[in-house]
Amino acid sequence: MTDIIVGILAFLGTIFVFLAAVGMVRMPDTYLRISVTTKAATLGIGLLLIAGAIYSNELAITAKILAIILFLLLTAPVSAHLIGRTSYFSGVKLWKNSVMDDMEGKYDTSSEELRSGFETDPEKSKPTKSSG
Amino acid sequence: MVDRIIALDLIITTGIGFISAYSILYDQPALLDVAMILALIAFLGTVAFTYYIQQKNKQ
Repeated sequence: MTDIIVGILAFLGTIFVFLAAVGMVRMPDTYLRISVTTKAATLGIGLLLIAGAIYSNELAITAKILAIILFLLLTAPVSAHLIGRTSYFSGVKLWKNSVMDDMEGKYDTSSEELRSGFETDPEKSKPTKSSG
Repeated sequence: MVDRIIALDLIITTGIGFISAYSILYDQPALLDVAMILALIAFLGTVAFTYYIQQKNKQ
């Protein structure tokens, strides 16, 4: 019974990691790549590690595995946000079929100034050139 | 350039999964320590590379 559960969980985890790898190749845009690798890889690795915890059936190993999963769940969104922020500010283009770009014209690449769009001073609320 | 950082992150994450599957297959749970260190290094490497790219943009 335990072997069947471990097999199913490890299979699902492998499928998700595989989907992350396929998305890395197939996605048209840096931002979409960030999305697919972060979500799919986190879920896939989580399922694989849970399979290991069920297989070992020991408290020490389960605690270690839970620590790894907690660390991955904490750091994956932080690193994804850092990569996305860096790529937007360094001028990586969005995909041509992207629907919306909320920060378009609000970031000045020369002075590194970010506007909110609600400035009262008309001089400051002028739209800057698009940073791409 | 940024795509390579994402790819490196995915490679290290896949390595963690590989180590996990190996430790199940050959019944060696001591290898999970390596997985934990790899998770730490992946986060630190991502932060360091994005920091360098930001510093390069400022120049």
